[in-house]
Amino acid sequence: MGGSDFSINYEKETWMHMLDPRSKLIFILVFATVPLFFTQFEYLLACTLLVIPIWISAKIDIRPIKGLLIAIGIFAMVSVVFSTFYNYNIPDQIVLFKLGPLTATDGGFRTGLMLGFRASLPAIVALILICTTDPASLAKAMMKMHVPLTAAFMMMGALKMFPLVASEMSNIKTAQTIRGVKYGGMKNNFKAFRLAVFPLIINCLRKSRVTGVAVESKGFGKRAWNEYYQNFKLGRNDYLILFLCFVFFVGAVITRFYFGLGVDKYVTG
Amino acid sequence: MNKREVVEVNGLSFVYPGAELKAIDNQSFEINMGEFVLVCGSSGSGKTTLAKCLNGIIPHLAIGDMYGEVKINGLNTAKVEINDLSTHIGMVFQNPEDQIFSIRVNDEVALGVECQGYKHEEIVKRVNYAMKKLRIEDIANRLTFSLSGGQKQKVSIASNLAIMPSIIILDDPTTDLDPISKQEVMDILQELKNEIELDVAGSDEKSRMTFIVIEHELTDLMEFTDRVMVMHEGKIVFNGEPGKIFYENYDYLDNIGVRIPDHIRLAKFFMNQGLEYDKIKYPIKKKDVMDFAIDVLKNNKMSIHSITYKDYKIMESEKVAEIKDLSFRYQPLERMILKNISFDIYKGEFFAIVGHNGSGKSTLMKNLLGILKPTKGEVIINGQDTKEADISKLILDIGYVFQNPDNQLFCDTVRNEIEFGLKNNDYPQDEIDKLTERALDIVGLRDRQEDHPFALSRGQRQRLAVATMLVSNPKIIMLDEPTTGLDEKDLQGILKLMQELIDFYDGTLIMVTHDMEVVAKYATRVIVIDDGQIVLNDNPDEIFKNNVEKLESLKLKSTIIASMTTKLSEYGMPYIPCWDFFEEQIINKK
Repeated sequence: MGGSDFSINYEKETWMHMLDPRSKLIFILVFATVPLFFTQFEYLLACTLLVIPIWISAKIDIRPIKGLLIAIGIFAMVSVVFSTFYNYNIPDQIVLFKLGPLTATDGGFRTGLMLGFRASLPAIVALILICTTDPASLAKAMMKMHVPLTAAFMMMGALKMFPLVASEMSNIKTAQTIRGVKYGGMKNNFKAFRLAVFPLIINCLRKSRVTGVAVESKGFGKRAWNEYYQNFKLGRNDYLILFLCFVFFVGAVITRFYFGLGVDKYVTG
Repeated sequence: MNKREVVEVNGLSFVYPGAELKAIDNQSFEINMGEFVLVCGSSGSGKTTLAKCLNGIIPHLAIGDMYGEVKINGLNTAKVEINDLSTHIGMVFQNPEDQIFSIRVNDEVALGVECQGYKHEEIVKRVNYAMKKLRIEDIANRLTFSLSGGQKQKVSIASNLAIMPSIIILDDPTTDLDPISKQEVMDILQELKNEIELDVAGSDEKSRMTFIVIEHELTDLMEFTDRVMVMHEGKIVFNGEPGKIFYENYDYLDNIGVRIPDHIRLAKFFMNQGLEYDKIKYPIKKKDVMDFAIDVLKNNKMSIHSITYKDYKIMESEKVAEIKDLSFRYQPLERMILKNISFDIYKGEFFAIVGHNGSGKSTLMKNLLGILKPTKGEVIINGQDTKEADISKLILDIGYVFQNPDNQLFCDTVRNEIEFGLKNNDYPQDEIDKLTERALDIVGLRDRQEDHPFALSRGQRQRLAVATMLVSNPKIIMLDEPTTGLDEKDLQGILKLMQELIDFYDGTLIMVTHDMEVVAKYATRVIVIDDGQIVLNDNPDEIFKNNVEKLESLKLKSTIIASMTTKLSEYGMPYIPCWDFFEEQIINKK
C-alpha cells in the first residue's frame, strides 16, 4: 500500500484527530512512562487494554500500517522468546522446559512479556499519533511547548518518513514482482527484502533530502518561529484528555509507589 | 550596486566532488528587478546547479567546490545563512511530491511565512493573499496527498509567494503535469509576472517580482518571457531577447537538444523560404506565428504540396491483449476507478494510453500487467486470463518499464541487473551470456557493465531498466510515462529502441503518457481515458485532428503544430500531426 494510502487515516475527523497536538504528545508521554513503573504482566496488560478503545474510537485503518504493526508484534515476540531462554538468575524461578542446552524459565518468560509490553505499548500509542496528526502541526505544537527547534525538526522529519518509506516499499515490491522476485516463505521474503533495502534507502534519502532542502530554503532553520497560522487553542476534549492522563499517571504512581503493587518478584526489570 | 539589479553573479564556477568537468564554468551575469527570465538547455547543462547557487543551497547544503560570487539583493550568498536568504529568494522544485511537507494545503502555504517570524494576523493575511493569487482557496483545507500534480505545484508556488521574496526560482515546475495543468501553471505565472507588486527597500517605489524559470517545455513560456538564458556544458551560451536567440541560433539550439517550440520552427521554415513577417522581425507568440502563416497561405506566398499520411490500418492478425468490460475498484464499496472498459491490442501495435493526471491510466496498466485483478470483466494477456493465471507466469512475456527506473534496479552491477530476470527463470548460462551481451549493446551500456546501477545518469538508468525488460524478448513491453525526467536526446533514444523492438522483434508496445508529441510521432493507436472510461479510441491523426475541443475538455491538448495546422486548414494548410512529420513530408521533400 502506497504512501498516499497512508493518508486515509488523516482524512477522518474523530475526537482524536481533532485534539491539539500538544494533548496528543502528553498522552504519548504518559503511555510511554507508565508501563515503566510496572513489571507485573496483569498491570501491563491493563495499560494495553486501555489503549484499545482509544484506537477503535480514533477509527484508525490498520491497512496502511499493517507492516509496522507486524514489526512491533515480531519485536515483542522476539523479546519473549529470547528472555524465556535467558538465564536471569532469579531465585526460585520455575523451569518450564528444556531445549537442548537452552532452559526456559517462568522468570525469563515473564521478563520477556514485560519487555514486549514496555516496547510495544509506546510504539502502538505513537502510531495513533502518527496516523492522526499532521507532522508540521506537531512540530509547531512542540515548539509552542518550548521543545528545541532541532528536536521538533527531527520529529517532523521522522514522521514524514513513514508514508515515504511505505510508498517506496510498495513501488519496489511491485517492481520486484514484475521482475520475477518470488515472495512467500521466510527465505523468499528475506531475499526480496535484502534486494529492496538498497534502492529503498537511496530513494528515501533522495526524496527526504529534497524535502529537507525545500523546507530549509523557506527559512525553517531561521529560528524565527513566533506565531502560527493555526490558533493553537486547547478545547474541551483537550482538557478532558489531559485530565484523564493526569488521573491515570497519578493513579499509576500511587498504585506502584504508595501501595507497592504491580511488581512481579520473578521479573528482572 | 545598481538598485535594480537583484541578482549579480561574478565568475561563478561549481564542481561536484569527483567530477572532472565543472557543472558551472566561470559565469557572470545580472538579473534585474521584475524580469522574467527563462533558463533552458539540455539535461546536465548546469541549469539546476545554477538555481541552487542562486538560492544558497550551494554552498550551504551541497557538497562541492564553489568559486566566484553570487549576490542576491546585495547579499553574498556564501556569507549569509540560507535561512536569511529565504526572505529574498524562494524556490519551487521539480517534483511537487517531494517538497510539500504539510498534510493540509493552508498549513503548507503558511509554512514559509511562519518560519519568518510574523504575527498570526500577518501570516493569515499573506496565506489568504497567496491562495487567492494561485486560485486555490477552494482547496485550502484539502489534504495535500489528495491533490492533482498541478494543484500540488500551485500549492508550492503559493507557499513561496506568501513569503513575498523579491525573486522566485522555479526548477522545471511542469515536468510531471498533464497538458492542461501545465497550461494552468503557466497562466498563473504570467498573471503573477504582471500583477505582483513589491515594496522596494529604502524607497517608495514598487516593483514587480523577479521570476527565474528553468524549463525544457518552452512553448507557453515563450509568450511572456523577457529574457532567455541558454545553458550548455556549464556555460551560458546565449543570454538575451528570446526572439533574437531562437531565430538567430536556431540550428545550434536544435543540435544541443533544446526543445524549440513548433510554432517557432514553423515561422523559421517560412523565413528560410525567404518570407518575412511584416509586423515583427522574430515572432515569438503563437498568435503572431498564426498571423504570419495566414498571411503566407492566404496570399499564396508559398505553396505546400500534398502529403502522404501514415497508414494506421490495424493488422488484426493476432490479439496480444483482450480487455472485456473491465471494471476495477481498490476496495469493496468504493467507487469504480475503471468502468466497463473494452478494447483489444494487436501484435505489432504501438499503443498509447493517454489521459489527465488521475484519470485511471496507471490503474488500467496495472490491470493489464496482472498486478491488479479486475473487479468485473476480464483481461486476457497473451492468451492468459489475469484473474486465473499466476503473476509469475504472466510476466514471462511482459516487460514493464517504470516511470522511475530506481524502483526496479536492485543488483550491484549493470550486468547482474540485466542477468537477474534470466537467472530467476532458470535460463542456461550460455543463453544468459548471449542475451545479456545483446541487451548491453542495444542500450549502449557495454562500457558500464561492471558499474553500480546507481552510479549511472538518469538517462542511462532508464536505458538499463529497458534492458532488464527486453533481454528476455518479451512479447509486450509496457512503458509508464517514459518521458518524465529524460531530456530530448535520451527520450528519442529510448523511443527509437522501442520502435526497433516492434519492427525487428515482432513486439508490441503499450505506453502510458501525456506527452502528445510522443504520441503523435510514434503511436499507431490511442485510447483516451477520462474518469475511468474510454472516451476516444482511434489512430493519433483522427484523435488530434478531429477532437481539439474534446481533448481540451479532457485536460489534454493536441501538439502545437497539429492544433495550428487544423486551424489553418481553411487556408489550404494540410493537417500535420507533429514536427517530425512536417520535416519528413514538407521540408525534406522540398
